Amino acid sequence: MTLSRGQWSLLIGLLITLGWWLSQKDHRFLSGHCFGFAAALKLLPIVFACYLIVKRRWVALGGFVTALIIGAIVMPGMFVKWLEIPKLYAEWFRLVVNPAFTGTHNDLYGELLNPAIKRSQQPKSVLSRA
Amino acid sequence: MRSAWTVSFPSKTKSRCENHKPMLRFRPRVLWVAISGVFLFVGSRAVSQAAFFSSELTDFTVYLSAANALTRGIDPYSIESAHGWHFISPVATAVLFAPLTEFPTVVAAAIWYLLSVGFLAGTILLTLSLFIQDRDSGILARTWVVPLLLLRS
Repeated sequence: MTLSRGQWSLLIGLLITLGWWLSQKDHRFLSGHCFGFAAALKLLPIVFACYLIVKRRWVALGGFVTALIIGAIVMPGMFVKWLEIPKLYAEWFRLVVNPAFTGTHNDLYGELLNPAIKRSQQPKSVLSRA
Repeated sequence: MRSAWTVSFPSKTKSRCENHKPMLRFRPRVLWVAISGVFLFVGSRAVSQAAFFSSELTDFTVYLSAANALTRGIDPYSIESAHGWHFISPVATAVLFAPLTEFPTVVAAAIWYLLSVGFLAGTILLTLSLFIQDRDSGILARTWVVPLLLLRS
C-alpha cells in the first residue's frame, strides 16, 4: 500500500534502518543524523532522541539535533521567509498534532481523525476498527 | 523446456543434513522476472492513480500539491489536493517533494515510485546485512518474500 499509494513511509524506514546500520558500524554522528532527519519528516522518530539521551550517546544526539534543525528549519527556509516557519509549525500543531492527542474536533476531523474512516491511522482509530 | 519449478527428491545416499533442502525451488531468473512484473504492475497503478484518475488511492498528489504551494510561497496547510485532501505532515515533507514539482505529475509520480522501490531495496539490504553474517545462508535467496509481503499489505 505504501508503494502503490506513493507514501513516504519507505523513506522514513530507510533512514531509521540506515541510522541503525551506521550505529552498528560506530558512525555515531551520521547515525544520529539519519534518525534526526526521519524525525524532521515525521514526528514519531523523535523517540530516538529519548533513546540517545538515555544511552548517553551525545555525539549521535548532536547529529540528531543537527539533522532536525536542517530538516525542520533550514530546508523550509529555502522556500518561505524565516519568520513564517514557526507559524507553519503552529498551524500544523493546531490542525494535526493537538487534535490527534486531545481528540478535539477541527476542520480535518472528518478527513483524518474520525475513527470511522478507514484511512485514519491515529491509534484510537486503529483500535476502534480492530 | 524446463519448467519454472524444480522438484528435487531426497536421495537415500545423501546424508540427513544434505536432505534438509526445500522440495520445491523456484528458479532465480523466473523469480526476479516475476518480481519485476509485480513491481511494474504496482508502479503503473501508482503512477496512473496519481496522474490520471481522481481516486482516493494515492497520497502522492497531497505531497505534490503541498510542495507546489510551498514553492509558490503559499501556506501548504491551506490548500487541498485534487482529491480534496489536506496536507498533514511537517513542512519538511513538502520541501522534500519540491524538486518533483518541476516535472509533470505523471513523471513526478514515476520518479517517486522508482525512488520508493530504491528505499525499500535499501532497507531490506541494510536489515539483512545487520542480521546475516553468513552470506551463503539460504535466507538471502528468500528476501523476495519481504517486498511481496509489503506489496500485499
